[in-house]
Amino acid sequence: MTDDAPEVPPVGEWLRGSGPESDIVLSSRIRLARNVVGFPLRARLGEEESHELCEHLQPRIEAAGLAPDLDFVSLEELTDIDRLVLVERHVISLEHANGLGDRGVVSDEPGRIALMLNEEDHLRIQCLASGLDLNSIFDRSREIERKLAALIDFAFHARFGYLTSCPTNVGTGMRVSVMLHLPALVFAKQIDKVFNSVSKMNLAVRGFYGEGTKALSDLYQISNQVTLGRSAEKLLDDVRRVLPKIVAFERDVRKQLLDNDRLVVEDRVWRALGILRTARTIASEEAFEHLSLIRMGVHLGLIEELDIESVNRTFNLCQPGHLQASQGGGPLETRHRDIVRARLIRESLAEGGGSSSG
Amino acid sequence: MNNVCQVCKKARATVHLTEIDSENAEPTEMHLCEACAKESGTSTKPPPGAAMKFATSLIELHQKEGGARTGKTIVCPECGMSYQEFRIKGRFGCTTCYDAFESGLLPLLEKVHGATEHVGPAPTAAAATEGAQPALQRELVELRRRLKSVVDEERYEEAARLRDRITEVEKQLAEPDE
Repeated sequence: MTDDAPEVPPVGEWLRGSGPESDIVLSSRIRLARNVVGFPLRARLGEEESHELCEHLQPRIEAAGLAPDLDFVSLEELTDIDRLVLVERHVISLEHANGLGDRGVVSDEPGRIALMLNEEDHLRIQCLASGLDLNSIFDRSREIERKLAALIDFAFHARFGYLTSCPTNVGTGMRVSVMLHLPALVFAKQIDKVFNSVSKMNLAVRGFYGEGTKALSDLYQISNQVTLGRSAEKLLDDVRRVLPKIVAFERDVRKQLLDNDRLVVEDRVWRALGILRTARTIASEEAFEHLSLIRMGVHLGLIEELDIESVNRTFNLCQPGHLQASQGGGPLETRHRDIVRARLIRESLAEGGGSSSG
Repeated sequence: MNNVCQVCKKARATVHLTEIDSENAEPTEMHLCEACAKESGTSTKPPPGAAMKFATSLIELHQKEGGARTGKTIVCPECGMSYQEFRIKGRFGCTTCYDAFESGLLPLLEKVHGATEHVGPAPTAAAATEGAQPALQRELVELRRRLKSVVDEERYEEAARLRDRITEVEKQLAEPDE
């Protein structure tokens, strides 16, 4: 790469690839939905009121002294591609990126903390951590909420709890979710068992980018289905208790596959690497599919010449927003994008190239 | 839960429809998979604006046909959103809607959450920190109260000073115990 070329945005917290159980759990996330007394909810919030809401929230968030490195970004002032980069970094939701009117986000660079202003709710507090680390983000989100509640009047109802735009979030307003990589369960056609048992336990399974999206790269989000009628601690516990079971299931099936079909697994994993090292044009879905197998191969010790950082770095640059940002930030045609993607992947996964770039 | 398509009873339901009958105040819900939704002529991606236009026409129809006369249409006194509009959009217009639509909302919450009441502390109780060091705790509460009022008055320099003091007190409170 030449020196003046823009670079791929660095890997965010969600893709850092460390933390407990990070061979299977990519990241843990907690989101609190809050609305401010005195403003209509989003569905009835006019253009002028949206502006006033942001003007109301921003100085209060600053005054609360939540964390040292928080920056405010107005989404209206970003290009479509820069907004997409934030979605891909899991800093804002897709809905927030595509929304209308004055709205913004206060976040730190890796995306451990993100406060979305004027999303579906007036304020969404999000804390994220690499790996399975629910306790620390639960404490952090509470701490942030407590500091903000001292400065902002959050809408609270004696019976229904924290009031939200959508009745599916009312009560605690809390969504606990965990991003899991489950390639062996998909490969062995056991993933439906996870779906079925999880849905019986008041948990929901969602695709990669959240509600209504399909699973990409064998990545699944598991989160609490309900927000009302149980305390925040209980809801956290519902998710926390099920996770070790799913993680153990995936590990068992990985081991089984190795014990029974080692050659088949090796073949699949190495072919995936072969394709990515040789492809001249590739769509993101196909790239993610192969990266999923490579990721599993690295964690199982089948591929020793790559480390997980280079797999995650490759995943990061494959994403449409990151890819276009790395090429100067202008929109690229799909055809052109697929050619650039193939080239960047070849460079990123080149033999012996994994460590030289760092 | 409505995870399975109501027509074929096999595939995962991804299309959720709320049908409003002018005779019946209670909307009926349909949950279909992509294939069955296509079969039934329901496009999953209506042209932009068309869905809203359709929804508005239904509301008007409902209000004309006796709804308004019999007093069955509930409208939020604060923001003017009708209960039907809420069911179509799935979003409230303001926080008063929760009280205005309570009769319809309770069965809905029961269905979605299996509960109708929040469990957990109210924000003021949650904000008042727990237990030890009463003097520091009191100072913290007072500092937060002052911070709120200076921010409300847009005196940001003063706010920054108070914020630093708050951070200091919080540190002191955190250190001795843990």
